[in-house]
Amino acid sequence: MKERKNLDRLFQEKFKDFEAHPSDQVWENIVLAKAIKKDRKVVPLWLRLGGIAAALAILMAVGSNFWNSPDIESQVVENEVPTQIEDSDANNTPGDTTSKNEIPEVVKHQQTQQLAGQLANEKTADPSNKDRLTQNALKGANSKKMSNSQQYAALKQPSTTTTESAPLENQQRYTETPSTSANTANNSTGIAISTPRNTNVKKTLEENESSLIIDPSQLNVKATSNNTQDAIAQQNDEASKTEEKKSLVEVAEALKNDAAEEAIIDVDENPNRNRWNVGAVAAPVYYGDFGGSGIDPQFKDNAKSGDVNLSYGVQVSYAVSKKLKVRTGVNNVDLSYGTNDISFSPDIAANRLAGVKYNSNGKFLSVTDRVSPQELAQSDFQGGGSNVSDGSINQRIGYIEVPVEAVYVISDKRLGVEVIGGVSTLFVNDNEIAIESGGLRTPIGASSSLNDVSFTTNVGVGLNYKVTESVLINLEPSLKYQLNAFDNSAGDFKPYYVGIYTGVSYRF
Amino acid sequence: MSLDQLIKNCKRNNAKAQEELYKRYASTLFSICLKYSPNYADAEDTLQDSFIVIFDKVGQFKGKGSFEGWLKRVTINTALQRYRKQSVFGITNEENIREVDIEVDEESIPLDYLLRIIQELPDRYRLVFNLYVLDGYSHKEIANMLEISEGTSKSNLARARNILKDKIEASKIEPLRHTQTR
Repeated sequence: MKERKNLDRLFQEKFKDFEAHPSDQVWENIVLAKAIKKDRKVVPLWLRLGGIAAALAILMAVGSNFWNSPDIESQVVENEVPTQIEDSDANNTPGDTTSKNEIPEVVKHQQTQQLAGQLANEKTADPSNKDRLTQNALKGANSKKMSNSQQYAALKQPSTTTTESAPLENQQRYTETPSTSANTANNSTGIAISTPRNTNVKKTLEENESSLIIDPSQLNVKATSNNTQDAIAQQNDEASKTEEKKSLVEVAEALKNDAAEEAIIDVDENPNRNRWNVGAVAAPVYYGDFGGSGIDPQFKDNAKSGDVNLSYGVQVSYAVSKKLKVRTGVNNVDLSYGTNDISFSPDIAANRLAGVKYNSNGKFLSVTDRVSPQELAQSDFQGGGSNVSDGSINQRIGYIEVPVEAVYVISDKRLGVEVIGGVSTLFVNDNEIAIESGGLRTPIGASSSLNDVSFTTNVGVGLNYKVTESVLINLEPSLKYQLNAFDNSAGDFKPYYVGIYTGVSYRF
Repeated sequence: MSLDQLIKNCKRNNAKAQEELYKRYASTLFSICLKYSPNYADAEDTLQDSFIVIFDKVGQFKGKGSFEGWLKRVTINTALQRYRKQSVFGITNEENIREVDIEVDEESIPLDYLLRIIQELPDRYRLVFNLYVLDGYSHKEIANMLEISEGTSKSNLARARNILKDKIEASKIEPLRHTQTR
């Protein structure tokens, strides 16, 4: 029965109840991939406990990851062999022993990877696939992830990656190949050859061998044309992932992989959703110190009392990946503290305090460490009368704070948990020193040892509650240790401040 | 095991539950993979990747909408991840973008053949055709998913339709030469 039909309708009707059964091999592969993945997941646990240091390391690792374009690596690996050999021939001089003691490390690393790759192959490949293993191994080695992690492994030992020594190793490995003819052996050598190459290939490429780049689409075509290869290559890939737990940078790589997977889900909704977060924060801040005095060396041992003031501001963060955000903002911070147990008296030729720039009132006040009652009595006797009073010095500092922080997300459930680390730049916008006594406050000047621009290192733990997908309530206890708030002219002051930052933020 | 229980157990990473989930949905999802992939073996790979993602992300399924719908979306997205990178060049005149009618003896065209000519389409034509015609996404959504413009999505669809039409018509004229139709 012929009829004129809309093409779309034809397909829609035909495919309405279309179902098809995949082969059993698929489930077996999934089980294997799951097992390998499980291994990998153990890694970030200790990392999480590592807190700030880890978060910062990841930030750096991710940063360096951006510089090393993965495209270039995967392109080059396939056709670099001859060049490398030439290189190593040319460089194969006695002087090449510069960093030989380092090389075994790299080799060791390769070997673990080889083993893992082999394992994966042997588990999954049925006999009919065996003859392809050599190619597969190479393919696996060529995959981006592997080359990345290799590169990190190499970067970790900077002296290893000198262009002279690494090719030497390649050369040896390469010439070994023909003698090992068994499939599996071939397989592992395959990896061994290609992996170290990645590191120096990158180098030589950077130097100027851009002519070696081949069309990436060629690789694509290859990848799709032989699917069995592809499948096993992926398992190699997975296997190589298990080895990524060796160092922080590799963990960062693992996190990146996670992020890549998450990207799949993200498309589901919207690829760029919820990356930005803007909010307002306010915090009671307590100013404390680890010793010293910001006013004069004689007050170093005086008791100090930190005051609680207010810090408020705005912040904006951007999620680099699901696990990592970078954050900045602007805060106004008011801080103050008292130096207790001081005495002061009017005096024409007053002793100057080291860290004070006096105003007109202050010039005629002599401020000293608490005068003992005996001395007080003596000064009475000398006719000073009741001129000497007890009190405290109050130093008030206001800053504009610009933080740059990395936020590592531990949990992003409704109740989110984060670890925060970073630095802030502080610009002084208020500076006053006053004497307080009997409820009266007399400004005597400003601090002369306070640096106009200073820095803090920040650590904190962030909790947030997601009222909706977009609106968050935040609570974030933080410690900010000031690095160079005061120059050395005063009393070697080591201040910090602690704040419990609360606020509402909106992510989009 | 009820579906809710199954999902709950999968969220706990229970291996039995995962296998059960696979058994229940593999065929449905494999049909998607077949449509979105260039051949059978690639479809199996896509299915494998999809299930790995599903087991990993099942915790993110909050019970909004049907579970099967979620599974299908994950699968489609996995396929898109694999194939959307390959760009297709060329601009189609907007005037050519219209529905395509075709004269067919419906019974005479086997499903296998239709599937094969879909698979033979260039990657992006195939994705756009599947998304628009078989899975009901709008051009706006497709543009978003494939990171292309709406216009590109429309012209890709038009090209896909024309290719499919030509192939069906060719098969009508020479029904015995199905296998050689390219």
